[in-house]
Amino acid sequence: MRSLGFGLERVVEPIFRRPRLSAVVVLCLLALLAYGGTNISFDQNLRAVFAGGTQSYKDYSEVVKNFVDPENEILILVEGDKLSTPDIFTKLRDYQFELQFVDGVESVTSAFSLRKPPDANGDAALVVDDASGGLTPALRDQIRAHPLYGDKLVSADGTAMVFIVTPSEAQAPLSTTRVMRAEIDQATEDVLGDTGLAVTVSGFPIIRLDIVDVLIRDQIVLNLAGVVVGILMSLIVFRSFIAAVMTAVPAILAGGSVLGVIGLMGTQITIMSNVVPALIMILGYADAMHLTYAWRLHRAEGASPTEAERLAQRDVGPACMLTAVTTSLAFLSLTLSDVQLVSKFAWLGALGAVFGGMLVLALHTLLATYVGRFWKPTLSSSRNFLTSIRRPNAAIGRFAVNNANKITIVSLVLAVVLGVMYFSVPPQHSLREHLPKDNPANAALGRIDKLFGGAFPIQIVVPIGDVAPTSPEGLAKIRAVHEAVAKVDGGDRPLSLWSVAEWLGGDTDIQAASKRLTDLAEDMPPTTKSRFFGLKGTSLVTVNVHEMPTAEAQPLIDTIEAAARSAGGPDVKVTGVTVLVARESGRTINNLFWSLTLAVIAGVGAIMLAFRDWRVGVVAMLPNALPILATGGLLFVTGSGMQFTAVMSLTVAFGIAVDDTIHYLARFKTSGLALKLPDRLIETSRHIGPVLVGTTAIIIAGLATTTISRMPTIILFGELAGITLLTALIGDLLVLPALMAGVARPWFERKTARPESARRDEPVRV
Amino acid sequence: MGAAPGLAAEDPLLAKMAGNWIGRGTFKQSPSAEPELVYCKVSNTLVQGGAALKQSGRCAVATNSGRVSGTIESKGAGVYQGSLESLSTKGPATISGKASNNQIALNAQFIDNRTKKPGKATIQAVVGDGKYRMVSKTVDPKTNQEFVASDITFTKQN
Repeated sequence: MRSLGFGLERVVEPIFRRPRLSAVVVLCLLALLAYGGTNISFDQNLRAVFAGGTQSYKDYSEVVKNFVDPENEILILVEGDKLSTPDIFTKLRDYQFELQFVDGVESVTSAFSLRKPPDANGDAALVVDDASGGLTPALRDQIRAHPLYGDKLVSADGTAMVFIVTPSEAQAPLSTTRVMRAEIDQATEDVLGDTGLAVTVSGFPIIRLDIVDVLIRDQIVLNLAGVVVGILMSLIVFRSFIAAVMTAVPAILAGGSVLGVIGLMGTQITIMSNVVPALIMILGYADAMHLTYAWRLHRAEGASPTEAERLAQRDVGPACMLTAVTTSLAFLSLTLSDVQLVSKFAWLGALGAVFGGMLVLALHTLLATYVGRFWKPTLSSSRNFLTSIRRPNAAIGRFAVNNANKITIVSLVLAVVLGVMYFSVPPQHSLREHLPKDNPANAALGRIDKLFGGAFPIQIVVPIGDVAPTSPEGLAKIRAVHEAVAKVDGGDRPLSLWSVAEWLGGDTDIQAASKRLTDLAEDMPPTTKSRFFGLKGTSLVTVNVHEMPTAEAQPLIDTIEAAARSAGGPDVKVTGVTVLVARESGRTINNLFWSLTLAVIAGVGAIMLAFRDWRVGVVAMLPNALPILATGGLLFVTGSGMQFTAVMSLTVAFGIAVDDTIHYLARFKTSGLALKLPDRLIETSRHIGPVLVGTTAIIIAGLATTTISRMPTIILFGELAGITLLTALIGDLLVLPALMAGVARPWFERKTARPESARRDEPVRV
Repeated sequence: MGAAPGLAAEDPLLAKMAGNWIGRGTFKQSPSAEPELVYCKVSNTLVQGGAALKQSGRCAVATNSGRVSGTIESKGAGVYQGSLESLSTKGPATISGKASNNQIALNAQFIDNRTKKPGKATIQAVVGDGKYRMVSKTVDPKTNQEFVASDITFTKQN
């Protein structure tokens, strides 16, 4: 038979021939990867989630270049029942001044910076001209009625205020934001420390900072937790320090090597690729466990450490590499995504799966050669966790074989029901999903959204042409779009040059308002100007909406776009991060469904190719589709949307789940050749079942470490992958043998048994 | 042969103004405008052996803030000159004037940041222990009326 592992398992051949030289080469490679690991960096750009060549992204990139960038603004939420009192309100006014002294602050917008329309002398008095009277209901109403951000700055009940801080450097590096946040915290302590007010610094720059901090923490915590859990599980499974070392060390180094590759390639760890090193380590544990299990069996039968390793590599090495290939194919299917963040994650995972798999094989061989001799088989060494569960596994196999048709029918019905649920799960994405809900900045953004009429801006770019936006003609066009958008239910009061014109009395005399607006525009600070004036004869109308599920946001945006275009013409563009997220996440998540479909086809195709038998691929389909459909069904029942992470988790979990099928089928091909099909399947379950249970337990234990992540998407990834793998184990131990013993029986039944193979299936005595 | 250059003597008035200061006061854009609060944080450093004072810092009104910077040099015999850039000037203003007792009276010429036209102002600094007050008067180009544009008292910080 040609190799199951497409020849990749031959990576160990030079090690058997020249172990010392190979050890030096492997050590040099590890040293290089360790050097790479010192150069890793973290992606700081949340916008990159949807970076790509799509029109939506191009529109969005253009609007943030030409106009104000809401993602550049720091929002400070101040809350307290006594906020309106004269003493505290006066301190809040001082806070407005103090914030302007923070290094790197371009401007601060708050209730204290609002002005009344200029009078006949051109003087524009402050709305809050005397803070010592406190925030009276009349003043609060006056502020909230201000057309320029009024209702975005003071809450309706007067217990919350927002200060909008615009940094002078757009998209500043995290180090700058970090220093600015520290200075804001200091100013808050200095001015408002004794007021009892709750002050939270939020906004996209701060959320971005917190996400990267979580990424860095996760790299340390997740990988360390993976190491600890893997070693503990190996010790529990094998009850041997040497066996645990032979299992854990290759896996840890395989995971670490991914970090090294990231560093050497000069790429960055992102909110998605964050989990890849830990994932490759977990897969490495599974491969190393198969190898150690087989190695110990051969050692127990009297083979030398090197010979036992040679036999173990022969028995399971090809299957390990085939599993690496199918996992890699699953990752590769995600490279089809036009979202760079997903495709980078996919390339890293695809490369890591194969490279990590080969590294595990190589390191296991070296460890078996140099460390394995310290393990001596004893009578008790055969009694480990895996051997103790052989009988239950055989019983499961027997149950599957005896109830083959019933299990097949139930599985098919389940597949249909779960399939309907799976395809009914709507796409869902939010930038906030990357941080826990109790993260202060994230929670504050949620409260700002509720208290201040929506914190998620939709930016409408109105082309004005050759006339000035402040001219009567320009204003008329902006007014048409403004008023059309204002009529759409679900959006907040729009902000545009027409808001300013109205403020100046434009609703009664547009000619006079145009003149005053032209004069006023000349005196506007750059940050205020950028809220209205574009670089290329365009003007901006902004409407804020509340946070809502993608499925609700998309039709609202479509309605706003239709209204804006009917009033302003077909060239009007509706964009902004809210629009980008709603439109791109739906499309991208739907694209990822195709990646998942491709992963299924490629995985099953790889199995067919490796076994040179299309029938093997056909029976592998149902046990591997069921876990994906079951997890999709769970998302449907719990009402969760289909997030990026969910589809990616399903795709990657499918790639891993196929591994169990491969090991089962590989074992079946060589197991119990002398027996009739039902007994042969029971024997296969008895032999391979315990290892599948063990590896699944290790992988799920490894994935369980994701629960200590502070990033909800990573926790979701672990949960969904764990559920998928657990269901896959049931599929492989119950549905697969049932199919082979039932409807597919003619494909797998031999006409004559081979007596010479019977010896191989006798229980191993060690 | 000219005299050899020597170290300039430290100016006692400028020396009193050296250090870190926080200023609070009022600011008006026009004679008819309501006065608004202005806050400043400046750092004054003696340079040229104490014969000049270099100022850098920031002033803020409720709606915006800007850098303040400049140098005032003692030319001897109570004469001072230099430059000063602030919120209301486009580019630095040139300043010159005389001191008597604890007061310096300066005339400033500048381009008005609002009107983009040349403007004139008088600045009077009254220097005390641990504080100094600066009052700036200018002429409104529309009405030719003189008014107090800013009146800021600086308190020394430790």
